[in-house]
Amino acid sequence: MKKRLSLPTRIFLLAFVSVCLVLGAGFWNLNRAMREKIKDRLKESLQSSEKILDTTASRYRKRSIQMLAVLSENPGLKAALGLLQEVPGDPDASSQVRKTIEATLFQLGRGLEYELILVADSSGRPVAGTLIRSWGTVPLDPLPASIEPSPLIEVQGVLYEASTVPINLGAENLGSLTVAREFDIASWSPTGQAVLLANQKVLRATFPPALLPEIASHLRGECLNATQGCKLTVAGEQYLALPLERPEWQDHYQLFGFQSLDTAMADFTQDFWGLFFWSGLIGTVGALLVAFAGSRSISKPMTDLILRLKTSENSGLLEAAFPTESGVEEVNLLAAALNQAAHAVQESQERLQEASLEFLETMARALDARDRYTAGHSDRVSANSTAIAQALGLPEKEVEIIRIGAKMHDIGKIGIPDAVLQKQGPLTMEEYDLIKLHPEIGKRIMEKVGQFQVYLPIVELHHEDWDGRGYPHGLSGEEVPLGARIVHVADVYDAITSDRAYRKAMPPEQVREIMLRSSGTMFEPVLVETFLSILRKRQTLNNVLEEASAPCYEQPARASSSVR
Amino acid sequence: MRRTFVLLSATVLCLGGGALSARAGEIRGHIVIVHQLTKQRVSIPDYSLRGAAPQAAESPAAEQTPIASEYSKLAVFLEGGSLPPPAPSAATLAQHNRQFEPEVIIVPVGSAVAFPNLDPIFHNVFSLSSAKQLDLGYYPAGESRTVQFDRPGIVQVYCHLHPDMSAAIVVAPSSFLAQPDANGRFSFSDVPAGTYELVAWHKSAGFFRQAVVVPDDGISEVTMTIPVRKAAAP
Repeated sequence: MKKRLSLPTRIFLLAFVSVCLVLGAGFWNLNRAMREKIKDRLKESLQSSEKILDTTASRYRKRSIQMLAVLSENPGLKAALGLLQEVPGDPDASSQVRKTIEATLFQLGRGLEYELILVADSSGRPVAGTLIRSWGTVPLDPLPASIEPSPLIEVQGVLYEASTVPINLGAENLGSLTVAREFDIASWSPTGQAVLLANQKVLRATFPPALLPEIASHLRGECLNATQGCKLTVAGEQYLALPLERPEWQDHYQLFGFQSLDTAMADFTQDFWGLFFWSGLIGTVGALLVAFAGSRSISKPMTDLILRLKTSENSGLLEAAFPTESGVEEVNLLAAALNQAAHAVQESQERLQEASLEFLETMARALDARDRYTAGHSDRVSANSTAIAQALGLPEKEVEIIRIGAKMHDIGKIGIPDAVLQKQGPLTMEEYDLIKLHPEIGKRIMEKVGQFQVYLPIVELHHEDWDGRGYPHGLSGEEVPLGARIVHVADVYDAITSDRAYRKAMPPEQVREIMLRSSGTMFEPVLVETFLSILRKRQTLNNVLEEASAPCYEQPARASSSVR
Repeated sequence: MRRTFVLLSATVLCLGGGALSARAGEIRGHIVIVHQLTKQRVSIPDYSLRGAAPQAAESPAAEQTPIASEYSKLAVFLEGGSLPPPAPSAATLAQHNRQFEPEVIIVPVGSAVAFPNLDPIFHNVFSLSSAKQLDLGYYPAGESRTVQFDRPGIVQVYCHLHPDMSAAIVVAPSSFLAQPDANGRFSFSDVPAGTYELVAWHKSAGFFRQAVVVPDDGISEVTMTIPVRKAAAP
């Protein structure tokens, strides 16, 4: 089944969801782009830091060699090396010479930042060495069997980064002097990890040993010739591995710097998390507001229309008052169409009402016509009631209601048998009770038609008395609507001024007296007063008219009589 | 290749003496250096230093005349047997142009060696050798110091001020001593008949020994190959 959603909800959801989608997609793309960017940046930073490290290392190496070149030009050292040639194969003498050289090295090494100084003879056999510790110097014992002219040497299980210079005497080479500093793999990875390969075997690494076989296989594989670095995953973490080139190492040694991409990413996102969060939040709230305002602005004229339609549905009146001034053109068109429809409906309603009223009037006249005595009764009551209402200064609408209501006030007499209604002579109690039913019968006839609701009080209550002795309910005073009270006055007046089957119409004086006597009992005194003044005016007018018209018609006669 | 192998053909001629020389003979020897003994200076791999000119450019020239440069570092003497005690002599080891001149001298035990300074700068001659440890201190141009060497052995002398200066004094236990000529030849005359040891000392390569028999009369011919060939090793 199709889900029913109100227009504002629909617009709101569409706007909000789409903005959220756009926002989300934007963030996702941004994140992805950032990730790529970060990777590139990371690589660059790795490369540049490698360059710096390399520069530092080569500077250090240059300085080492400079320093060494100075150290190697030591006459004592040269003389001591020369001694070796005097005592070949004599262990005692050799150890003596070795001590001499060690003493020289102690002296040389004092205050230097090296950790190992080693002298080898011209065939590359170590002759003497010194370890420089923080507390002092100790002889290197035992000496390594041979020493390779290598940038990395391993002595007593410690890997040293070494620089070697020859010791020359004139044109002759006496041997070599090596100074070394412990190779600290950790110093190569200020922010990440590092692995040193010797002949493609892991020599040193900052990774835990358990991971090394995996790393080694990676490095031997895809990373072997990747000078621009390669990405590899170790223990679920993504790393960027970059070979750190050292020219003097050639292909024998390879040092790789590892930078964790995930960690770098995490650092970055941690930095920008707040920004992302707040812009996301603000974006969402903004989308919410915009969607809300948008849905309101789009649907407001529409819902206004709907509200009006609902109201008219409740009231049953379709008023042609739909606003056509809203900001939405289509809604204005719709409102205009509704207005036209309302006009048409109103027109037809009015016509219908007119027809109904005419019908009722006809019925009332037919009723009046049943009895010659009551012929014209409804019209007269209506006229007099209207006069009183006008004299009271009631609004036109109410006057109109009273006029029509008065015309119909005796409609209920349809339901009274002719025998009773047209009876010659006074009525019995039972007959009178029947007559008394007519206001309620009239009410029942008319209450079925919605438009006649306004006339009901007049029809139902025009026999209630001011002092509460009337019928059908015995209401008193202002409990009875003004319309009914007015019609009551006009009705009684007409009754006593008309001929009846059983009596003649009363003379004006008597009528006046009855009316005055009934003021305050049957009628509201103000109404009687008003009515009487109307009658007086009418009488005066009649007299004036008579007097004014008499000369017109009688002047010739009078003139003739005066002539006569 | 830094090391140049130079194979020299050699002939050793030992001439026999006549009846006249029944109690004494002569040794005529020839030292054959089969390859360059001196390790050539090695320059610093990637950093050129003042005074440390690369040697590689010179090596072709050195290859052509290896003998002269090697023989000048060589001294030979006889040892053992019943040789008469040596007669002390005098020798001079000058400091000239920031070098010792000559590079190697050989003197009998008890000789005095003068160390004149011919340079316009100071030198400080010293030796750590067990045969004679010495330190002559600073002395200016024109001055000289004289040292007597009473123990046989090698005395390598250096200068404290100039690390490239070096020389060696071979203090021989006999008067039968020589420095081979540019072809490696030398001779000892009036050597009493007997069995001796011919000792050659090369400043870079050290000692080489070979037995030599001097007949009652006549000439003993000796060929010494340095370094000693494995086949001929004693």
